[in-house]
Amino acid sequence: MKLYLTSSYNQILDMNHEWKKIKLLANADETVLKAFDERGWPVTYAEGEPVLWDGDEGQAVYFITSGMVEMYRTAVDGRAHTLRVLRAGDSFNLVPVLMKEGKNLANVRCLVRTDILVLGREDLQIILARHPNFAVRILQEVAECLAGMTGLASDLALLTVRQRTAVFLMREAENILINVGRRWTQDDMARQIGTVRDVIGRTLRDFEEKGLILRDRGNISLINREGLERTADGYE
Amino acid sequence: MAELNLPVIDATKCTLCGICVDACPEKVLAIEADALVFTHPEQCTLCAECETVCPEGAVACYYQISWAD
Repeated sequence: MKLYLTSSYNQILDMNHEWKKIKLLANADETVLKAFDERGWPVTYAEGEPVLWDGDEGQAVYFITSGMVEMYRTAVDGRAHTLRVLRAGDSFNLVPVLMKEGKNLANVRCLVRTDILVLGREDLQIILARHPNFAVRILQEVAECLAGMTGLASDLALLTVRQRTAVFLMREAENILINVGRRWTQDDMARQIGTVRDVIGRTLRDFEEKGLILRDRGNISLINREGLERTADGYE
Repeated sequence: MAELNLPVIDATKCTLCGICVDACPEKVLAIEADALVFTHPEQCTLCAECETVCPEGAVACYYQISWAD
């Protein structure tokens, strides 16, 4: 487990309280929480610090108690595509840990300072064997993950960059309303949407010319909800 | 944390090619003494043209995305 001890920000958290923040464990009974508490450990990562690398052995599952991480993959030319942005309460790397000799399926890095609880592969398997009701909950989580990835693949195949950009802008504006938003560069947006920076630049400029958005220094204001929804649906 | 009001230049990536200087519609960027500098920062509108054209990904303009009031 040397991998998880490299962060210089290790700290002791109120473990039982922290585990209850995790969506996957929201309805878990006390025996399950106790098992996680006994076997898991906390790590704090700095902004920009990598958590795991695509292709490495899937050694653990991760639970975010505060902060935000980006799950992404990179192409041979270095272009990156964001698969998901995960926040407090989310978990990741469950699939490789459940696979036989599973490898990490993506890179993960912290977008801000992030507190994570970690549970090793063997420990998870022991907990699942001892708590079949919780194992069913894990199955649901994996199914939701599969559905999410299917949706992502579908979006990339079937939606244009304009549609994906409109969807992204509206989703992020909603995230701001519930205080889980962040600030984005065009490069960040490109990674999220599955395109390149200059295409995002042109698309935002076009949206602005069509009166869908207004860029004012550090803000992108969405000023035409109906127009953005029509663009997202492919009508404009 | 990134500065909201001006583009953030990563000097380790910037090759001083000057493409952003030419692209800036407000002419706020210049190359002086082997560094990319803001000559008129108060005129920067954060339009992100510099970020768009930078071939090295050395420029970052940070935006918050929200619904208009």
